Amino acid sequence: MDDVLYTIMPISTIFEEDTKPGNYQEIIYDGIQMQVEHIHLNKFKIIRLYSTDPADYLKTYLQPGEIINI
Amino acid sequence: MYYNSGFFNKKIHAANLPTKVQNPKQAPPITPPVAPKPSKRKTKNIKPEIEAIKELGESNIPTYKSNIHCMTIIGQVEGHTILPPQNKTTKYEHLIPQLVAVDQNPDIEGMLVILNTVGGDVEAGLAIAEMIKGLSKPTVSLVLGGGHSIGVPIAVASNYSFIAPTATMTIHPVRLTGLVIGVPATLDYLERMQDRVVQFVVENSNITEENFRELMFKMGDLSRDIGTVIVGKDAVKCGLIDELGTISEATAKLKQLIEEKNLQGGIH
Repeated sequence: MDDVLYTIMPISTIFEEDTKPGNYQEIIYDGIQMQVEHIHLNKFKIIRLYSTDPADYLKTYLQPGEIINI
Repeated sequence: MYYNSGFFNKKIHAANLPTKVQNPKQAPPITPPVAPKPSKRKTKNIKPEIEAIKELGESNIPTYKSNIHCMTIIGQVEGHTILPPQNKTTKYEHLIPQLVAVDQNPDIEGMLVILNTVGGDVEAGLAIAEMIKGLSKPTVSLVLGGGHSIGVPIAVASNYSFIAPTATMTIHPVRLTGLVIGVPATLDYLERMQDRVVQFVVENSNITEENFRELMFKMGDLSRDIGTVIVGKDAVKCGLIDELGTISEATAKLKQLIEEKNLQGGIH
């Protein structure tokens, strides 16, 4: 059985084709799980954090858009 | 011939390769002397500052520890299939381990659930809702913007729920997407799926089943569908959500629940 979606979004919008997948990956950096975009070699741009700790969102070096070196 | 062809080849190489290599090399030296010199200086001036800020930021972070953790449920609630990349999603494989961590961590005393979701997978949504409901620590939910469809059971799963005055919740029947094979069986399956949602909402809020089903199948409220959109105050009036409010009310309530729990723990 397919997944049953219970949403107000039109199904055509959800499953719209011709969209480029972003170069995103999920990593754990500084002990925090986050979504990053691969920029170049070991450079990654932070897209969003998955942490539940509100303190993590105040860390200036983990703001979305910051480039981290891994 | 040999010499000629060799020369010719070399010439081709000479014509092809160096131009490819030289052009990018030549391009930057040509442009800087014209104008961009000041911009280069600027970046040189700014760079160390940014680096210093970054470094200071890293070392100067105040060791602030919150006893309240926050879980945000945004966009689509993603289930067993990965949705195309244009969707902003909240994945259950992220939330469920986080809920376990919140439950287990002795430093965390309460959890705030913030919703701004358009709905999503029924099973994933119910899984998250059950986990929030079963958490051993006080939970408060706050609906901001929208808590639609499967966001409704998630919103009511916590101990106490808030809705922002401008936030909306859409209640509508569960629909099936894609190809339907075996219509009676599928309809029966959908009906049971819907009952799970209705049951959960009725059990965890003050709304009656009759009232909730009425909202779900109301005609003429949604332009393209049956169902109802309820705005902040109406959600409180019908008993779905406990109170109107935003962050300050939600955190105050959570602190109160934590205190009550600690007092109870002291007595027992």
